[in-house]
Amino acid sequence: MPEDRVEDEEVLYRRVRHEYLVFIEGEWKCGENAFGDPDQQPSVDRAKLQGDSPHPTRAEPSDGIARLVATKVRAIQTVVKRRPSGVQEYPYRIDIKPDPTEQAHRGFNPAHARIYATPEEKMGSKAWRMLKDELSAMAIMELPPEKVDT
Amino acid sequence: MDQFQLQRAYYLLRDVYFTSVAGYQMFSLPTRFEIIPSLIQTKVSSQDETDPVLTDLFSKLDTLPNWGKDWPEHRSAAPDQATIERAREWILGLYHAAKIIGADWIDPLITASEESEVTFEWWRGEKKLTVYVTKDDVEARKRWREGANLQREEVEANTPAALQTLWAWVAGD
Repeated sequence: MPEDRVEDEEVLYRRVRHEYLVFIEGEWKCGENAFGDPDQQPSVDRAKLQGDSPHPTRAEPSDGIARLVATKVRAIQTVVKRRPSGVQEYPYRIDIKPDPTEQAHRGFNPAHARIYATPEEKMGSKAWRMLKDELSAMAIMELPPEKVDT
Repeated sequence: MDQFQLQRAYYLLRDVYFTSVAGYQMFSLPTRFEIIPSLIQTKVSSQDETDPVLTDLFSKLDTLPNWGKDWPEHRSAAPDQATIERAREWILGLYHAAKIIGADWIDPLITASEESEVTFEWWRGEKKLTVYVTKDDVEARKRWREGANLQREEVEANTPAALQTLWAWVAGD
């Protein structure tokens, strides 16, 4: 059986709670904490494994679903490990790995994947913020929030 | 000089500053801050207490101790009170800086990170400002687009002059 791999052309969906979204200048913007993850491996769903629909990714009507493309995620080159002096040690390579898993809102999710950096180590704050910033900058709102309870 | 006299001095200077073509050269911003030290304090004044913009900002900050509390997937600690207090002082300083330079205010997106920081984000056109507040520090990063590329710069955000420069960048065309 061939090893599963996220192909470059694959579309990825990220569930974004409305608290991380703002509608400004005619479009939805994702705050960078929309890509937060305590393990520094933001979850996404692979569109092709859920019928190219963003809807299964949505857990609540107030969620927005942001769209990324794998090749752009892999092209990120600005996330770097630095010494305390600021000198660059090495760049992190950003990739996506399949990670089928159980999820509270949808049960077993074969489309689940994770964005991660190699070498796999806890990144410093600046590197991690940079990754979140890159992801939020490239995110396009595929499915805006339907209803926001305030 | 009491608070009232300082306020009057401020408004007098402000009027001269904004009505004079040569005002910028006559009263450099740091100098004006030295003249009116009470106006750069980051404590909430009675005027601030009734300002609807500040009231809204502060009420958003007040929700952060409960950030993610009811979200099943959320596994991070919310910002602590010291961090929120620092964020309150910082945003108050920025709001005052915006007023002093006469620029429009833009409401930020206020969120908490999984590292328990308070994060402020502003967008205007191709520009974005992100500010990270912890109980010990405030860090800011500008991002803008040049052609197809994003440019970024970490910038100072801890002095009155820096806040004015920062806001002039955010609010400017």
